[in-house]
Amino acid sequence: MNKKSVSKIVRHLPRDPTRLLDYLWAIQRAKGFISPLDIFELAKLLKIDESRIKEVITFYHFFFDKPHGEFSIFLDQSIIAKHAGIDLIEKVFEEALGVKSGQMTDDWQFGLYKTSCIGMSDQAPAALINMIPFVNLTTDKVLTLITCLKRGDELLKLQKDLDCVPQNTVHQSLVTQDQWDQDITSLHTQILNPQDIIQEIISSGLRGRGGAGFPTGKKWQLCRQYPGPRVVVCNADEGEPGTFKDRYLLTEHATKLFYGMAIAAKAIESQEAYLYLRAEYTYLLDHLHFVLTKLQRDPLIRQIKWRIQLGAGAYVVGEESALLESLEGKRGEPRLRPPFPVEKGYLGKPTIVNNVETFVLVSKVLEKGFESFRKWGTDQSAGVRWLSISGDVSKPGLYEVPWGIRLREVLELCGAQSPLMIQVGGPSGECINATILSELERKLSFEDLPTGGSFMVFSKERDIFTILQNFMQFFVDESCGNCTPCRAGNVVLNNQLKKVVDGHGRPQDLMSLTQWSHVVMKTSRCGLGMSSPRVITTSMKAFPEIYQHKIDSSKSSLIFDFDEQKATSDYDKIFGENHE
Amino acid sequence: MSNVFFQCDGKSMQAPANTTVVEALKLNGEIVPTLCWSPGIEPCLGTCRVCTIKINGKEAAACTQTISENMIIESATDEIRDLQKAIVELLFVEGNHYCASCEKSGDCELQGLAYQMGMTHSRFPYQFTPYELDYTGVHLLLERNRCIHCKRCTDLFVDDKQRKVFSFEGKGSDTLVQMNHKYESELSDHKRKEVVDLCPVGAIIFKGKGFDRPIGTRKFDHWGDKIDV
Repeated sequence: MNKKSVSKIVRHLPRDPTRLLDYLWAIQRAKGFISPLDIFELAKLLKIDESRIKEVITFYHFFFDKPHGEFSIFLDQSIIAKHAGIDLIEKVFEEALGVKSGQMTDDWQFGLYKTSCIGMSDQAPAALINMIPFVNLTTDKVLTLITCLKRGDELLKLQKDLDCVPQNTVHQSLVTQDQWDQDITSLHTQILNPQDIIQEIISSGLRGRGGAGFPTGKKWQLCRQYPGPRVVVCNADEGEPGTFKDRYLLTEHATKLFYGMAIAAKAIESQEAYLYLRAEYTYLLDHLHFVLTKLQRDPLIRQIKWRIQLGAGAYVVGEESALLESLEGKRGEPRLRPPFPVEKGYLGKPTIVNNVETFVLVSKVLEKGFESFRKWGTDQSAGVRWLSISGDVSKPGLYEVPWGIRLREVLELCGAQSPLMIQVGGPSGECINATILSELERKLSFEDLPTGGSFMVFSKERDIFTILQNFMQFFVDESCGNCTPCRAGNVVLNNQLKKVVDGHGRPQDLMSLTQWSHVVMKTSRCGLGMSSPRVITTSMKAFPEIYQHKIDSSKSSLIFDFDEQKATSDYDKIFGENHE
Repeated sequence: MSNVFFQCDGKSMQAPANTTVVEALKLNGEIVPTLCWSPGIEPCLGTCRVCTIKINGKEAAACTQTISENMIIESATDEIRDLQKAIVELLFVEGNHYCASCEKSGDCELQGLAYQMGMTHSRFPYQFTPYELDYTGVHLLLERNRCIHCKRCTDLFVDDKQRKVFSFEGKGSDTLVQMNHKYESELSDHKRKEVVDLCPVGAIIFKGKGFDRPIGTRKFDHWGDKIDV
């Protein structure tokens, strides 16, 4: 174990508790895990309580306060990975290493763990090994991998040799992939003033691509109402299972992203810009720093103070106020609203939070003009959007489609194979029955079927309940635990769903599933709990017959319609008793 | 300060601007059940969600919202009462609440609320999750079976040196309150009493002490007299 002192490891970081995530990453990278002694030293260094550090470590998936192996292997547990055979991969790992999932080998060399979707659904099954993604895993690859790692081979070399490097397969691109028309360094000269930028964005009709669809221009205008200094934050924490479009945009279009952020900074007159990158995309960190450094020669970029903050694994941090908490080095628990981030955001400063795709589109709108953007899409949903398509399709990958595209058209594009169910917008989105033709005529748009970009297709061979239970378990795992309905309610819903699936349900259990879903949706504090019961409610609407079938075939030994009075009526008649 | 006018369940009401919805309603004699919130807790915690009501047709926690002109509030409707009761029932199945043997019985806000709402059982199945009890403190006992994760102790309580004694660890349904044993051992008499009183349930109690007050003089003993069950 590395005996280096904490103060030496973190000497490059400013003495600032808001950078706690960076400190913890630095220590974990150097020492493998964060020991009680490290916590003690760090607390002294930052002049904060040890408990404040423990609170943060225990909140995130990828921080460890115990040894977790020289090579920590995290297996993707998304339903797409399950269908692609991650369970078999897990078995191979278990047998080859001689440990169970969740354990570490005796020599401390390997640790085997599970994690939520890692953004590789187009190349499932996949795993993160020391935060380096290994995609398209097979049993042979796993066996070779372990042998080579034991021999002392380099991870990155193995990733390449075994053909496990993530690829971005773009099947359709309408706007983003166009090359810039002119030298990008001259872009800023044509940007007139903040008001013109905001006007241009408002005219384009651009709405946030995270899912909620708040008009981007309006958000910026609202933020400008509050006195500065103001802050620009990019949400690169896409965690919705089945989505991976930000991975592609960050890899291929980081320049457009940073320009989009710089344009936003100019529009709200801000000098601070932060990119919050999900831990699952740690492997993109160097690339992003490289692009950003290269852009520094442009004054538009140079006048801004930039920081790329690496997350540590928590789906809930995708919620904008939770993201700000995490950016401040705390547990990623959503804040109460009001006040909204546009008024009080990062460290209390007025802040705009937009996601990766939104910023990329901002720079395209500014470059090409709002008319060329508006020519795509529908009235309420202007422009194009990226879909991450995965599941039972012949061409999984990335598709840039116009808003208003029909589900049928999307299925044709991606080569869906006898589709039974489509999950639009991930587990928090909507479950669609793909065998009902009228459903396939529905349009992806804010008017009809909004989506944050995840698009999972499941064929007729799949068991719907397995999918739904995977989704509910995901929400149970990812709830932050702050509010009652989400923390306790999702557990109750998950158990109730299991009861029905296991064949122990009665008709009233279906009713309670609906009613309890309503309770969690209506009373939760943030979007996670407000949308997690949609797994149940939208699937009950799409596939009522599968729920009904479970109830009908339930083999309960109890006779629920037993009528006591009828059964004892003879006795009552003879003895003249009346049980009213 | 000027008053704002609003409606609650069809009745016109008024309250000073900048008051929270829960207080504005209270000023007008309309009691909203609360658990993590109590008068003086500002800013609110917004964790328990028991005070969920409808504002302009949309559900919101009354403690987290500020009253504003022409707000239309639904508070005592069957639908809202049922949502509020459901949350209390959720808390009862999540933890292990055995009122009959609890030192806080009669002084417990969760128990009081359950009686007030006429709760006879929980609609949800009991989880029976075992929670570890922290008996290693010098003065205080942390009985996590009764914890409702309201965050009063973690967010509102500091010792005489302004240090936080309680914190949250873990995530989701594994979230647990932790006690800093060094700071706990140094707590002064009045600070100990403060945090025991701050805890709405019997999760933080005095060590080595059983029942505090005889039946009949406890906080909620006469609260229920007015309520028809």
